[in-house]
Amino acid sequence: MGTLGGNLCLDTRCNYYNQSYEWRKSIDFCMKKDGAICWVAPSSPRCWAVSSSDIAPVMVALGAEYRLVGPQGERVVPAGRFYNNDGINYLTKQPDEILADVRLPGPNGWDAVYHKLRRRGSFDFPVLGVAAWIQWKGNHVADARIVLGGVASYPQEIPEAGAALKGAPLSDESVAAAAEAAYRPSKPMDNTDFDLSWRKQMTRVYVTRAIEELRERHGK
Amino acid sequence: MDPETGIVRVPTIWIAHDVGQSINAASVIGQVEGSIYMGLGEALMEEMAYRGNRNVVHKIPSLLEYKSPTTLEMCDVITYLVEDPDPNGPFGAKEVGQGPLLPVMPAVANAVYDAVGVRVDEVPITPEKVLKALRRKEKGEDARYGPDSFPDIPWPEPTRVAPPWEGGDGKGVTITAAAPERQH
Ligand SMILES: Cc1cc2nc3c(=O)[nH]c(=O)nc-3n(C[C@H](O)[C@H](O)[C@H](O)COP(=O)(O)OP(=O)(O)OC[C@H]3O[C@@H](n4cnc5c(N)ncnc54)[C@H](O)[C@@H]3O)c2cc1C
Ligand code: SF4
Repeated sequence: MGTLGGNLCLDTRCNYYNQSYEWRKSIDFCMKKDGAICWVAPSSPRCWAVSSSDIAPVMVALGAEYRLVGPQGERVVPAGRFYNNDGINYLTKQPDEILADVRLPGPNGWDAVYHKLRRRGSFDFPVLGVAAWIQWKGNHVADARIVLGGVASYPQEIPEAGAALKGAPLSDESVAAAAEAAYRPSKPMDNTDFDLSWRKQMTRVYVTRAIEELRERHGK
Repeated sequence: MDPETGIVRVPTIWIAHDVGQSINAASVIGQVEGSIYMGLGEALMEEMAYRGNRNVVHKIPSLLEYKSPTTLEMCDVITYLVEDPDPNGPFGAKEVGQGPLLPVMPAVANAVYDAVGVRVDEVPITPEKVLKALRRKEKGEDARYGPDSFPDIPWPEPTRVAPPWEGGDGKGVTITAAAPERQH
């Protein structure tokens, strides 16, 4: 059995790290554990292991809040501030804090979808996840958030993509502008399944499809 | 076939395999369909990937990242057993091992060509390869993806074994004189 808390705290993944001890030893360990170098980006001072939870980007897009409980008491943090863009220190919580609750915003005209790219629908981790959230006001997009999973060490919100949708009804142009805005900063590294340039290209397609689904659903 | 992503899905494979004589139909069909499964993995996903500039380490030596279809990716299979007994085989049987696997890769490649008009001359037929070929086609270039040349191989002289109706006794004869030109 897996829990929601465990999934939201899921370790970052990398195909140089999620390997047997012998394999990691044979090329020498990387900095995520026991080593000093990053094999994906050898000149980089940081680890680029990939945020691979499907639910985390959705929580960030929804604007969820997490209640953390530790020896110092409890605090509530927005999901977006719970994650860190670092493959090793990927959570901002203290080691002795437990994620006790997840609070979702009440239904007040928002809708959200999640589109996931992976090779096998049955059980592969995402190599790209797109969480799209829209706050509707009639036919107008009052607010919007686009969050990418699987392309960075944290669920990466793309504020420019949300901004491209905001303040008007959805149009083909605004959807395309949001997809383009999400495509540019999407920087997958060569440490998951699939070719990285194809994964980057898919950002545009998947963001478009996610928003299109919201548009279709709202139109009904 | 999704032309925006290059993702290929194979819903059904029809296969007819000449087994000579099917001795245990359930096992024979199991062999055929198991071969389809393995062929489908070879056609679409399975790949020996080595680290770019350090070609000594296999990148994905475990079944988590070495992608093979699971039951959920497996296509439907419609199997026809052709029974044309071989008098030289046990009870007239031929084979049902690797035979039914081999046509899967070319059949999938042909289906991709039939669907979107591009040739992927390399397995696995991954979405990025299909998409690259589609982009080339859009630009009016050669609508294919794959190696551009065939490696130079010192082929041995071919050996020919004459069939029984030509008086063959099972012994091979090396053809030296008119060795046919290999197509590159
Ligand atoms: C083959 C395979 C495929 C998978 N595919 C996917 C996929 O496609 N998408 C996806 O999102 N996930 C995928 N997963 C991951 C799976 O969803 C997570 O492993 C699971 O959700 C973790 O939950 P758990 O309760 O077992 O957590 P654990 O594994 O027990 O915990 C994970 C981490 O979180 C910490 N933790 C757990 N609960 C809390 C808490 N309440 N507060 C603070 N820290 C906590 C633990 O200490 C640990 O560091 C896959 C896993 C496997 C093995
Ligand atoms: S990104 Fe680099 S440091 Fe991090 S796990 Fe992969 S190889 Fe190791």
